[in-house]
Parts: sequence; structure tokens; C-alpha cells
Amino acid sequence: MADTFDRVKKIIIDRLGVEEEKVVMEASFKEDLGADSLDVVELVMELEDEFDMEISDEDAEKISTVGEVVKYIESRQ
Amino acid sequence: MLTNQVALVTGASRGIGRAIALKLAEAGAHVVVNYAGSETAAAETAAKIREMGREALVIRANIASTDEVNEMFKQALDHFGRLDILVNNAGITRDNLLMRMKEEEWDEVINTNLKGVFTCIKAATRPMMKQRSGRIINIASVVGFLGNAGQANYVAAKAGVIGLTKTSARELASRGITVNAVAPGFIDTDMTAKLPEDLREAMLRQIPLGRLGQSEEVAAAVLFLASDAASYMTGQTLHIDGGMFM
Amino acid sequence: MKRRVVITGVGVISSLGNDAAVFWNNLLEGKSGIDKITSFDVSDYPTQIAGEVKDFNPEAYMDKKEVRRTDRFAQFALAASKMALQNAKLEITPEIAPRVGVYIGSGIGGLATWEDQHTVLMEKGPRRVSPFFIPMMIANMAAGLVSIETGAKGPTSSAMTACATGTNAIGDAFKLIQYGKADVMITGGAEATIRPMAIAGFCSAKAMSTRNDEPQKASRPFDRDRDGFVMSEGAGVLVLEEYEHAVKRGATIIAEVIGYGLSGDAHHITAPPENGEGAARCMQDALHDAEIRPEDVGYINAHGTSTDIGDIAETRAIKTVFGDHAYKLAVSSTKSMTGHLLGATGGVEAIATAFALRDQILPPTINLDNPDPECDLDYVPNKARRADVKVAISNTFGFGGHNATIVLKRFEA
Repeated sequence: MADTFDRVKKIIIDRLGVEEEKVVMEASFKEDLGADSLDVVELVMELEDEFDMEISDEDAEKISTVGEVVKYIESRQ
Repeated sequence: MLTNQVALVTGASRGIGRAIALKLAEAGAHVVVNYAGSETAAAETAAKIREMGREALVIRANIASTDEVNEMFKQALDHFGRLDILVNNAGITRDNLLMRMKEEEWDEVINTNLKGVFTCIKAATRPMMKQRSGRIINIASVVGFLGNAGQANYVAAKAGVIGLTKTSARELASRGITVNAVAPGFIDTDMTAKLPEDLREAMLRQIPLGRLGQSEEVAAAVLFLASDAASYMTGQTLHIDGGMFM
Repeated sequence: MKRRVVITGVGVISSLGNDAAVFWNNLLEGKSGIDKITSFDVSDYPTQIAGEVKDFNPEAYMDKKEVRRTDRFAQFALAASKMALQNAKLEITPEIAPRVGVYIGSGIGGLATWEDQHTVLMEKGPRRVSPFFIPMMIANMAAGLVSIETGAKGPTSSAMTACATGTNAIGDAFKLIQYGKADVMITGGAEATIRPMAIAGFCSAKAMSTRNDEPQKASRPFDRDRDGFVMSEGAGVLVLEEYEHAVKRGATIIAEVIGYGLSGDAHHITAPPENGEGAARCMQDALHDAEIRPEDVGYINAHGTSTDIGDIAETRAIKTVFGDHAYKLAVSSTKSMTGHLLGATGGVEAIATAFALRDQILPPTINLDNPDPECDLDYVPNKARRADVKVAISNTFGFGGHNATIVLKRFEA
């Protein structure tokens, strides 16, 4: 779990240019991390590359917090 | 007054150096504007010189580097074909109490503020000797005469500049070149503007005329030394310090 | 009722400095911004030189996240715009925002983004193409970004007329203020195409100099030995302001904009007609718009790209318009120093022209060692010089036969 979170966190910090302490499990991409819809699409692409998996558009739409992403990735591996 | 003469002013992008460059241009000189840091500020000085109808040439050179200094004089002479006035104004500070002062802090200040003046004078001497005329004006400081806690490096360099001024004055006099110094006191610049109020007050108490000097007042002394009016003066220091040192 | 329009601020990103004062100083010192291309391996390209912008730090003008979502040309536009606003000492308050517009063009747009994402498409497939591809690539995004980042809410638009882009943008912006659509316009051009596709494309079109061993001598407009233009990049942005608006807030006025001319060659996709007929009509239209006589013009900042046909055609056009006066006025091509900024060229050249009027100094045409016999005007060869000039014009001509000229006047209240 910790490993997945760290990897996700690194991508979020890099892509969204946010401070590290803001990236917590409860953080919402749109409300807390200032991501717009295009940022989320790009983030999903990065995650697909990082974890070598495909995230369908349907699944991607359901994800709104950092914790949900981590849980989703964990469940698929 | 200085019509069609060519002046090179080191550290001319802002502050006292800029005021000197503009004053010389106002009197008719074309000016080589040397800078080390801000190209924008140097370009602005140049634009003001051109506004007065004089030519300006901006050259970046770190005065502490002999190679860069020599290259600067080469460029200036290639461009203007002569050099009449050299003003050694560039200087840096690395203040620290003697006990805490690092060797690098000492070296940096000595290399720019003292060795740099030597290399610039050396480079200017050749064309000036050929012309059998020239004016060299070194910007020293009141602290070179009074000493100042926390500035061992700076004060040593400035005091050294006075000795250098007198010696080069003796060496070059027979070739029609005069060498003089201007020792400013506390001048109203970006640096003094940032001082806290109490320190400013303490500073003012040391000045008989009771106010900070203006860059233009230093520039006026430089212009005097560069002009015909000062033709029979060499090896001297003009103190522009509101009476701090007398 | 035409209103007066003045220039109150300028910003430059160029191979000759990322600052208007430095840029102008380098022009007057006759320096060249051209060098070997460093941003990619050019060993396979016939042309290996360009005027690259050095030491550009986009994070000085926008936050890190925004940097990743914008192409270099839009970053140049934003940097130049912010410097121009600062230079104009103009704060866009909510009260004036709806009357402040943006009109910035680009000749090509986000070419770097195009190339990078095309590679992604080919290598990784369509699902990997960035969602930012379109907004980064479209050429109007320079204007869009500047509006977003500065809060200017007036008319926001873009020109795209190849190398005439910058002048078209400024001319259109001038008209918007003149006819009351806005009080302030942030306007000019931006370009960043020193990239494999653009270099390859212009090489194939045989338009660029191949003087790779002497980069700083490659751009030599009106010289006998010229062999094509030299590409460069950057942005030139001006703050245009309605005269009363500028006076009321105590703005420093650099120069006045008094006319704008346009024409089409209707001739060929890349070449002008040899007699410069379209360019001549363009200049005539501009003089007519400014309500002045040809003899009033003292300086022309030429398009002068250093191409074989272009420089001759422009010289002929000038003779057509100005007759005997063509030999009395001064013409110079600052592209001899900056290289050709394509869509941004009209921006930086308008700024050079305005500064020439303000300071009464003409920037030179460098590398003019042996003038082409067909080019027999006074091109201010190799050295800047003083001149008493009241009115100056700036020409730019673009592929497709787009011609644009603006007329500037030394400011007098």
C-alpha cells in the first residue's frame, strides 16, 4: 500500500505542481489539488504507464480522490 | 567640456557608476558602460546616454578577471579608437567581522576592488600613453580613511586604492596622464535605502552636513577631475562625504 | 470619429535579449543573435543555424503547472506581455478589464507540441495523446493565455498570416482602439519553431541560408551574397492605448501609431511578384490611412528577410511608392541581427521602429558588405546612426501574399 501511494504521489506532485503535504489519501483531485478535467485525463495516462495497466474511461470517471486511485490500483494488481 | 572624448566607467549599470556615466555623457563624452550583473540596467544606462546624443557601448566584464578586463579594453578601443577617461567604480562588498570573515570573502573583495583597479589602469595606460593624455579616476571610500567595523576586506581594498592612485600618478605624470581618487561618504543608493531606521539615524549623526550624499554629487567631482579645470592635479583624493573625514 | 492611439509599453523575448532595453541596445551595437542550433541534433539538416532564445525561464512568468500545459510560443507571448504591462505601469483593475483586449498572433503555433504528440501517437497509439495537445498547439492560445493570466477581458483575438502575423495583429488592435472597441490592447506576435519539422520544411523550400560556418554573417539583407533567411524565435508585444486614457494616468508614451495598411499579392504561395506590386499597394494604403504624404516618412523598418527575390521586390516597391524620396529616406532590416522571427517579427520590429522614433537613432542593416546592384537605397549599412525622423513605417510580408504595414510617429502631445 505504502509503495503504491508513494508512486502515485510522485506523479501527482509532478503533474499538478502541488506541495507534497497536500497529497493525502483524502485529497480530492478537483477540490483540494486544483486539477481540472484535462489534468485528470493526463494523470490517468501517467498512472497507466507507471503501473502498466489500463484504466477504462468509466472507471476513471468514478475516481475523485487520491485514496480511490490507490485503492483502485491495488485492487487490480 | 568633454566633447568627443571617450570614457570607460566600470560598474556603470546603476547607482554611483550610472550617475558618473550620465554626467560624463552630459558633458559630451561617449561612454563605455561596463557591467557584471544586470544587462537590463546597463542597457538602460546606455539608452539614457544615447538620448543625450552620445554613443554608448555596453560591455560585460567581471573586473576581477584579468582576461575579461583585457578583452573589454580591446573591444572598447576597437570600437572608439581611443580612450580619454577611465573611471574605476566597480566594487563589491562581502561584509563580516574580522574573526568570522572567510578567506574567500577577503579574496573576492580584494580581487574586484583592488586588483581589478590595477588591471584596469594597466590596460588603459597603453592607449593613454600613446595619446600622451588621459584621466584616471578611482572611486575609493571614506571608510578607506576611517576604517569600518565589519568591512576589513573592503576597507583594506579602498585604502589600497589610495596608495595605487598616488603611485600610478607618479609613474604616469610624465606622459600627461593624471590619476586621482574620489572618496564618497554615505551615498543615497538602493543599498542605503534598505537600512533600518535606527542605523540610518546613527549614520546621519556622523555626517557634519547632516544628510546622505547623492550619486550626482559624487559624479560632479568625477566630472571635475576629468575636465580641464583639474589639469594641474594628480595623486589627490577628493572627499565627497559631507565632512565626515577632514 | 478616429481616436488617437499611442504605445505605452513594450516587451521582448529574442535571440538578442529577453528584455526590450537589452534587445534595443544590441540592435544599436549591431550585434547578431544567430548561432548554431543547440536544441536538437542538426547534423542531417542543410541549415544548422538559427536565432535561439537563450536563458528563458518560463517559471518567472507563470506557475510551474501552467508551464507544463503551454507551448513555448505561448510562454514567450506571456513573458513579453507581462514585461510590456510592467513597462507601461498598467494595472488591469476590474474596472478597466472589459476595455483591455489582447490581440497576439503566431505564424505557426505550437509546433513543438505537434511534433512531440505526433511521436506519441505513432509510438504509443491514440489513447496516449495528451489532453493538452489541442490547447497547447492552437496558435490563438498565445492571446488566450495572456488574457487568462493578465485578466484582460476586452476583445481577445489572434492573427495568422505567416510572417505578416505580428503586424496584422498590431494593426487590427490599433483599429479596435481607434474605433472605440477597446481602450487598451496588448498586441504583437510570438513564435517558437526552431524544431526539426520547421527547419526541414523551410530547407526543402530552399528559403533558408546555409551559411553554417559563419552564423552571424548569414542574415545579410540587401547584400549581394545573401542566400536566404535565418529563422529565429521569440515574441514582441506592445501595449497600445487610447491617447486620453494614457495621458489621464500619466503614462510615458514611446510613440504614436497613426496608420495601418493591408494588401494581398494574389500571385504565388511563397514568392512575391518581382515588381513588389502588392507590397507597394500595402504601403500606399498605410500612408493613406495615416493621412500623410510619402515625403513625410523618414525611416522604413523593412521586411528585408535576406532572400534573393524578397529584398529586390521590396526595394522596387519602396521606389514605386516613394519615387525620388526613396533615395532620401533610410531603410534598414533589423533581421540582419535578429534573424526572422516569422509570426513574431512584426512585433519586435514595431518595437525597434518605435524606439528609433523615440531615440532618433536608426538601427543598422549589418553584414551589408557588397550591396546588391538591384538594391540601391540607403540601408543604414553596418552602423547605427542618428537621424531626425518624424514618421517611420514597418513592413512585413507573409507566405500566401499577405502584406501588412504600420505607420508610427514620433510622439508629440
